Amino acid sequence: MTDRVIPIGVLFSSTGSYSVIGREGHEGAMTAIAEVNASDLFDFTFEAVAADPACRAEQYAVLANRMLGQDRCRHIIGCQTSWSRKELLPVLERHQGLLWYSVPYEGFESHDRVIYSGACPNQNVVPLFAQILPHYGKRAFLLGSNYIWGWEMNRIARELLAAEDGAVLGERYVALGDVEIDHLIAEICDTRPDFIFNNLIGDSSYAFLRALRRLGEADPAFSADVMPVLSCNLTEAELPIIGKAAEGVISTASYFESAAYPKNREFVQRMHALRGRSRGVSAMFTGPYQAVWALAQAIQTCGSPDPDIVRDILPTLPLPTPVGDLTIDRSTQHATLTPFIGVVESAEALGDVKAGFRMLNPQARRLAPDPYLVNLNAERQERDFAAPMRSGKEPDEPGRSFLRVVK
Amino acid sequence: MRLKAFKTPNFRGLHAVVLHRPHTDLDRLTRQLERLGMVVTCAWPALAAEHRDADIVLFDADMGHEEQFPWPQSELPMPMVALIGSEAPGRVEWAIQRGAGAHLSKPVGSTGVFGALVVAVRSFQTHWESVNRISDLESRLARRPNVVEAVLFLMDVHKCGSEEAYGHLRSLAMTGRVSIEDAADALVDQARGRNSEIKRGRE
Repeated sequence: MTDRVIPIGVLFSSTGSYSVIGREGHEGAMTAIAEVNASDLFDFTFEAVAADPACRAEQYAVLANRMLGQDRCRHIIGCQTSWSRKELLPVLERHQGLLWYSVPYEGFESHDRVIYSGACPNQNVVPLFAQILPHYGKRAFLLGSNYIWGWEMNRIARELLAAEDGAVLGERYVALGDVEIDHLIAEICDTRPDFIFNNLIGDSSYAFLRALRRLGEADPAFSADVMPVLSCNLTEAELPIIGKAAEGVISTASYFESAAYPKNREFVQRMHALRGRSRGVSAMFTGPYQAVWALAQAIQTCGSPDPDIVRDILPTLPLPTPVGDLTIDRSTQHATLTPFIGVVESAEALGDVKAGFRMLNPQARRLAPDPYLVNLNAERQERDFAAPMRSGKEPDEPGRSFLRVVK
Repeated sequence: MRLKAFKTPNFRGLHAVVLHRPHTDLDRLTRQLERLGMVVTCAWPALAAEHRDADIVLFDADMGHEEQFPWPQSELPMPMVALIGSEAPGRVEWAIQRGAGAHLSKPVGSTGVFGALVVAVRSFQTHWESVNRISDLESRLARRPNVVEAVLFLMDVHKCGSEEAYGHLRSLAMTGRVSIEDAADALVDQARGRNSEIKRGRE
């Protein structure tokens, strides 16, 4: 085999409020590390340096500092929230390390020390709305957990709806982890939106979907096929927890287990053999999995794990991985991704039929990343900052004819 | 319910001029601006006359001085961002005087550029809206004597009190779709003409 061992940080929360997706991320990274180490493609092996920040944002920086310092890692695979990623940025700058961040996020960042392989808004909410609005209508109810993901996704939703002459019938936020959602159901009952854009996360989201399901059972006007719930981060990983309340939810992701390309069929089969058929393969798993493989390919090509060298070579390479090539855009350090849109089916089925996503846009094409939405509706944009300078009083002389009423 | 459109601030295609000596700060800043779709020109040691047409100027506050700018402090042709390394109060004050509506701390990193541009553009717009509004109010203030004279004239014509006369003046302005001040000017002009005719007739 080889004499070179390269330590790699694996930083996901296996315990705590969002540990369901955290454990998926951890497993994705660890599975890929094992595959890379067993492969004869590489003249080095990875040594995983894993830690569990337990969903506490401040813990991420502490653990990352240790990984990049005493543990001598140069790369970290991890983080699943914007909050934890922002905590890591100063640590990455201090040690000149590189973070491989692979979950969807709200965009408006392009940091030199981060490779972003999750979808940004032009690769999720924009194509999702383009696909759904023509079918279900433009009157939306916006929901979110009370932090930046929900705020920013809903702000973009408002902008998209305004451009389409749509309407926002309500916009509500609940505290992270809060499961008191009856007031939301009451308001949805009153306002009767065409669809709900759900940016709640974790337990709040599960509680909401179950309550909405009960409403739909009582009154078919609120069932999923009439008034669907849209999501930009629901994946296969959470379907077993939500159960039948997930039926009919429409979500967008850069990966679905049901994607029918040959490489994926083979990959899913292999993962089922490894983890059991009941475990869905999701973007939360494949994101870190693909990142590890891409990192290995880049190190093999440039002959060094040095983060600057690796980062500079990434955009010049096809980065083949068992789940498909990863393409990194040079200027933004974000991935080119396919915005698949799927609807949850078989969540109500009994026996060993497993819930999954039926693809609504199998013809979807790859989209270049646009984290600052530079290319979104730019033609509508007010460009002329100087307009107010010139909008002083018009010099035209008022007509005098109006004085005729004076005797 | 109609939606109030919130537009994502967009800088695509805008021309940014960065006034800074060659430095890694300049390279990182240029890279971030280009990620936002901007066209970037670097200038040093001074801005040229044609840079007055730039959409945004980012200037070094550490080594910056008046002679680098081809326009006086009193003008503000575009939104400006100061690049501040030394936070000495005199330097910060100069940056503000020179027109900075926002600032970026040096060393310039991967964060902060988008936010600084948004703040600078907004404060630039607010500045000019205020300037226009103040000049409008000042001009209305200066024309108040004519409004008083017009009201007195209408009191005389209609044999009424000041409130009713002001009502007449306002409806004249509305009918003519002009401001109260314009209507008053026109009325006063006319009244003066009539008075002089009367005077001529008496002669």
